[in-house]
Amino acid sequence: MKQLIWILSCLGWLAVAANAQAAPEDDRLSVVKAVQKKYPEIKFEDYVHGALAFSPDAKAQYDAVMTFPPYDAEIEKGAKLWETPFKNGKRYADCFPRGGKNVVGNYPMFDAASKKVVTFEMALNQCRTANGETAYKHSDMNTMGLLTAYARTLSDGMKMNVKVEGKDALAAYEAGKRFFHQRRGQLNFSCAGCHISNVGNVLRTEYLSMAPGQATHWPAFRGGDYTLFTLQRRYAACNQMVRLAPLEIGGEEYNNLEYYHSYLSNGLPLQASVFRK
Amino acid sequence: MNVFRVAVRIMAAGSVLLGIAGSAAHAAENTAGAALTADAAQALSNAVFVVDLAKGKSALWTTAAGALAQAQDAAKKQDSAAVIKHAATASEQAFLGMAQLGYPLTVDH
Repeated sequence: MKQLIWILSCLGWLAVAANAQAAPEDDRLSVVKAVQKKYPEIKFEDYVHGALAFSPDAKAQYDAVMTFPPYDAEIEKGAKLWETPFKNGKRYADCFPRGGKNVVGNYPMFDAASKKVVTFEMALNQCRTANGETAYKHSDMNTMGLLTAYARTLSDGMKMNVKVEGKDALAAYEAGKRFFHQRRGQLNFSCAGCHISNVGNVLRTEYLSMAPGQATHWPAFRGGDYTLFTLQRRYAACNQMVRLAPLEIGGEEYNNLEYYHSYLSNGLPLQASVFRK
Repeated sequence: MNVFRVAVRIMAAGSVLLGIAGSAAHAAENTAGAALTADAAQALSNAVFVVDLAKGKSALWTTAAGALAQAQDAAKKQDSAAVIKHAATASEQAFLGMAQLGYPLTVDH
């Protein structure tokens, strides 16, 4: 009898463990299917182009801009930050596997010890503080923005592979999912309302991009002056547009949102760095 | 809707507390010669409280924050009528932002 209870208990835990990953994967497939149902002609791999996938003209303009990216000098500044040794002689490359190549697709990741989501920007700051340097502000595009922009180029083409393992990770994922689906601001919009339910529709002259694929191409250089936007800076701008006072960039709520949001892009290749309107 | 109920309770309790504190503060201000009326001072105190509450819940509308800034500007100019008007807008919109947290989540389709 004891053996039977033990076996059933083990099976139960196995089921719980399997479910922890199955629920996010079900979510991702459901969102991808919702987009595919509405736009069966757009290939899954083209989701990385976001709103450009709805407009061949806009995509042609984008391709023209990307022939000689006008923001290359900015990327070089980021490269200089990446390659400059810390005071102790170590470098960012020493903090990451493979010298920082093909690592970004695994971020955000969940740190079981601190029970917090760790974004790539946080990992860069952890590298700095572990080597006796002060942390950069997540909202500072001249330091953290440029550094991230370059560091992500080292993972260009890597497929997103965000993992949600364990109940604490699942709780953070669920918090991000709730944020994504929660109506906010005076205009009463949710992220999902635009980027899932109304994907491909035109809002203020712009196509609404699909949620899967969105996390693959940040930081992006935006607009006429190629202003650098990290993903969380984009969240803040999006919140501002629906008239919600933006939350802290690098704060727990945006980190959890990025965790869920990035999971939706699993299987799609990172694109670094790109231009977006 | 729990969040909504909690927000209502906190706001009610806060209003009572701030009503007392606000009146006391106002009495002190009057002896010092401040020009804001008791109603304006209390409206401003309440607006600050509710806006802070909404901010703490990540539910603050920019319109509420903007109205509070206008109320504070009006207070500097000792314009009680404008303080009451903008503070009321700030409180109302901050409250609506918190109530939004109780809305059903959007559905993927």
